[in-house]
Amino acid sequence: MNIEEQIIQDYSNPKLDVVQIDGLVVLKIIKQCKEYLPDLVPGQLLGLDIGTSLEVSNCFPFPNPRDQEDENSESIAEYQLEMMRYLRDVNIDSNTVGWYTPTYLNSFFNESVIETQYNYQATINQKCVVIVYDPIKTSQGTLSLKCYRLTQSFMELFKEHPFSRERLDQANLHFNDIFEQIPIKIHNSQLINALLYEFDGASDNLSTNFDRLNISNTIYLEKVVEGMTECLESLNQELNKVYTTQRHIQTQKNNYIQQKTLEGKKVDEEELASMIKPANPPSKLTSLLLTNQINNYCDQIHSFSGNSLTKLSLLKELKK
Amino acid sequence: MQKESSIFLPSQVSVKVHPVVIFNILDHYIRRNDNQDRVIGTLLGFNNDGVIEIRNCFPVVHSESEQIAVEMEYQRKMLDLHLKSSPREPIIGWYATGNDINENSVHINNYYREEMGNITPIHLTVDTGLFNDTMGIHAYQAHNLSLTPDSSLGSYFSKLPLEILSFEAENAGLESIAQTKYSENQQPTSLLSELESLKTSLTKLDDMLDQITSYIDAVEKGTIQGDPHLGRFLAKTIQALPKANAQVMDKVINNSVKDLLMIVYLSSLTRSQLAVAEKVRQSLN
Repeated sequence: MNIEEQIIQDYSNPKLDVVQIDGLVVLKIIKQCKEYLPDLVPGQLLGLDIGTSLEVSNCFPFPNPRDQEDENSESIAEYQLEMMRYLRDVNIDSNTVGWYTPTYLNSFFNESVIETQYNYQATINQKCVVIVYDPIKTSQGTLSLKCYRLTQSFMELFKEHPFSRERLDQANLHFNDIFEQIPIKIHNSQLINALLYEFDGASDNLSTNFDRLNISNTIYLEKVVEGMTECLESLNQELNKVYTTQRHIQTQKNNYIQQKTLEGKKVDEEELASMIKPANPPSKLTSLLLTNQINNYCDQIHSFSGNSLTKLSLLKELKK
Repeated sequence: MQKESSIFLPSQVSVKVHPVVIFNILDHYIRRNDNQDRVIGTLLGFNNDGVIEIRNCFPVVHSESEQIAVEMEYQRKMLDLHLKSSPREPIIGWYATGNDINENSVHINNYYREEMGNITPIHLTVDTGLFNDTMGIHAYQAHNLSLTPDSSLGSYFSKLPLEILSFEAENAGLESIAQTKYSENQQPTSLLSELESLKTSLTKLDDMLDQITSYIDAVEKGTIQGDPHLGRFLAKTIQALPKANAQVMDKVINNSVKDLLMIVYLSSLTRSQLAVAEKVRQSLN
């Protein structure tokens, strides 16, 4: 098989097993997110897709919308194109493989992220991913990078507009079926490994990290629980909306039947169905996303509490 | 041309480099063209009262076959783009790979001085050839050698003190990516889980404690001379420990455990609720 066939085959194969990230990209994402805080500014990932893996070898940030009042989406697109053209001149992979975004407490399951990610996967490459970086978690001493993309089934569903409630019902989508998480691997070149060895010898505070020995970070836990409560409240609101709509439909139905009975006519089922048009039915996607988000919060709480419990029992043993 | 600072004045400037800059330079070197001996690029950062912090950099196309050519147009364009995304990082100097500063470096340095409006650029070198078995990361600043104010005999690059600077999050990132150096055959490694990283931290702490204990033992036995600074530092550290009553500590730990368990219980409850809702929905369809 020649290389072009291979490329085409790789391109059309949607399977993605692993995302391989260069150490450089990790550091760049960390640096850029730190600079923009408290704004969360996304950026673009560059690299290559090979077989069932995706290699991310470089990245650059988008301009911060706060710094440029007159910026519109066109000039951002122009910025991207120009940046990629110039990076190609110095032999950097100028091939978009996705985007990254910083987030607090992994609260990124929302519709705008889905839309952006859909655009990447639909127009550029099915293997495009979004890398989510959590600066709060990372400042506790453990790098928090996660990689997601939309599942094939959700892509199919989202493709056909309008994105209606009926079609979601038919697809019978589980809340876990919207995003799939892809394992991350870190890759470094030999020269960078050499540099890391040098850092090791040079100074201790570059390689050790005692932040994570903090016994119980209650503020973090509090924030996660707070976020979860908010989510639950919004979910409750969604349910209320559904309830109100249902009641609305029911009243309409009753009125119609009453009217027909008064007029002494037979109730026409078809007419009944055509008459009832619920005003703005609540989007099912919202509740699905909220559920997904709550589930994610639960995961975070579990992993965090598990670690804290370990640390506490360690301390207890130490004390004896 | 503006006069460069005299070499006789002691230099007050010190340089701090973020690890990401060195990573970028090495990546650029790996991606160099065929037959290219070294690569150069622009350093971005700021000068904070004599402490120069290099925050970022980008590669620049150049060639030095018979005559040197630096694509200044490219440099300006890239600088514009970088300023768009990070306006607070102006140009501060330039980097090159290799362990020596040659005649061409002087010319490139002059280009950069013109670009920067006659401010003396910082020059950073990274030795990718690993002579002397080190990366040889050095920072320089050029000084003019002259007898009279108007003439110039040449340039002298004086070395500046250099430090690698990283903040908390960068440390965490560095530690995760440093795992690759332990892997055989250059296999990419996966991210550390929290438990694994906790283990490394504890091992390191244990090592440090062992080290200090053996040091104290040695001093007590009189085999080595104790360092008063170290002694004072140790005393300070021990004083910093809170005096904990065993019972109070027990109570604190138990309370934390209870809190955590309750939160875990609540989140498990939420999760099972979600699962039930999902099942109901599925059975309705």
